Amino acid sequence: MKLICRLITKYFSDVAQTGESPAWVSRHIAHCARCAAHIEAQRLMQQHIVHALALDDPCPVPWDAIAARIAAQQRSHALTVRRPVLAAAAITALAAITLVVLFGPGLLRHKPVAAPVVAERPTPVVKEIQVAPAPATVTVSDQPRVTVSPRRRVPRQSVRRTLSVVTNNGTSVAPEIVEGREQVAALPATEQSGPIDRPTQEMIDNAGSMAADVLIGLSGQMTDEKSAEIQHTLLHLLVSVLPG
Amino acid sequence: MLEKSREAAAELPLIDAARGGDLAAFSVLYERHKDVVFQFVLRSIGRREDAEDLVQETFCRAWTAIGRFRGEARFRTWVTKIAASACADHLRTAAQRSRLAREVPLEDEVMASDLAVPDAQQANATRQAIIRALHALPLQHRQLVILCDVQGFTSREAATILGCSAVSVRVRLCRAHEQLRQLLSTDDEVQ
Ligand SMILES: [Zn+2]
Repeated sequence: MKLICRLITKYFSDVAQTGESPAWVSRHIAHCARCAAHIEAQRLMQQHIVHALALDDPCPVPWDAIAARIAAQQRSHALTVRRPVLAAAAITALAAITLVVLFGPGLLRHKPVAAPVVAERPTPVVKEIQVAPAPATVTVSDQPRVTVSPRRRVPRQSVRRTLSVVTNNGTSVAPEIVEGREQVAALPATEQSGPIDRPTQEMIDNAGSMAADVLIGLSGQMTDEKSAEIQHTLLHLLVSVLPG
Repeated sequence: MLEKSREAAAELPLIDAARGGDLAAFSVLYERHKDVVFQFVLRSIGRREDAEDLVQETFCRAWTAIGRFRGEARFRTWVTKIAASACADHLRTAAQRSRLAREVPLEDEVMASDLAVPDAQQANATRQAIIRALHALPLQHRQLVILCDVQGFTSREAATILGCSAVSVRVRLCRAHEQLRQLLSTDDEVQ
């Protein structure tokens, strides 16, 4: 086979039929029986292919299906635009709650307070502080030293509810003494029942589970209701942990 | 050629309207080109169910991207390019690739009218042989046969659709024809 025949059968056989081929190709085919036969065989095969691959039935997909899919796509696009805002809000809330849980008690401990109320009153003298339901006896010496024993981790709210102070003559001291954190914080720093102000295991667990929820939200699985629920819970926890 | 440029000019107002968010105008474009896209996708991947899904995917992508359509090619060429990309994505899944590359979707190709008379059964056998041979080709070769032989795209348009040069299209198409000829002659010998 001549080089020109090889070239034409290899690179120009398809365009030779359509008239897209260069003039020299057409000229050669007009004079070369071999190339002409090749082009004819090519044309016949192409006819068969066209017949075999022709579709008798039109595309069965109705326009409504496309329109519905476009609408769904636009809705999901709108959601992906809103999602980063929700994610940012969740991160901010998570950061805030973590800071409060970790450093909030420390800040409270350093809060400047007046001299111990117990010490200011000569009589009746505070004898012990009881914490219910499993009363922890807090023994307070006559003047201002107060011993708290045994040390236990008690949730702050339960302290606020159940703390009571019994004086050495059996009477209860004035209400402001038993009303919670300020009074306990007013005790000398070395003797305070510190663990009361630290985050409880329950609070840490809550923060952990909320962190998990926020992470789930960030991974795109958080529904709007779930997001609202988490924000609500975070807000509640913030309110309950913050002083006052 | 003249017909093609006339078609492109007639579609310009529709494309402009669709760019402005007019879904009704886009639906007219869909009705005009859905059959070409469906044929291209069905012959590329072979499964009717998947092809219907890919037609939807193609036109959704086209709607999203219509703002970037500059009118340098015909709308038909542009939307077929999107379909080619959707087909490639579809076949990229390893499991599907290994399964579909070898499997000939015969059940999709049999038309009721082909089976009506005994002569038609012979015609259908030829048809099946060609389809089987076509599916034995690599994807791009197969798509070139569909685009250039069946759908009448020029080699330049086929190059735009498949993202290669016109020379490459011509070389690959000749190679595809040669492979088809060999496969069909082997098939004849077997029969
Ligand atoms: Zn020749």
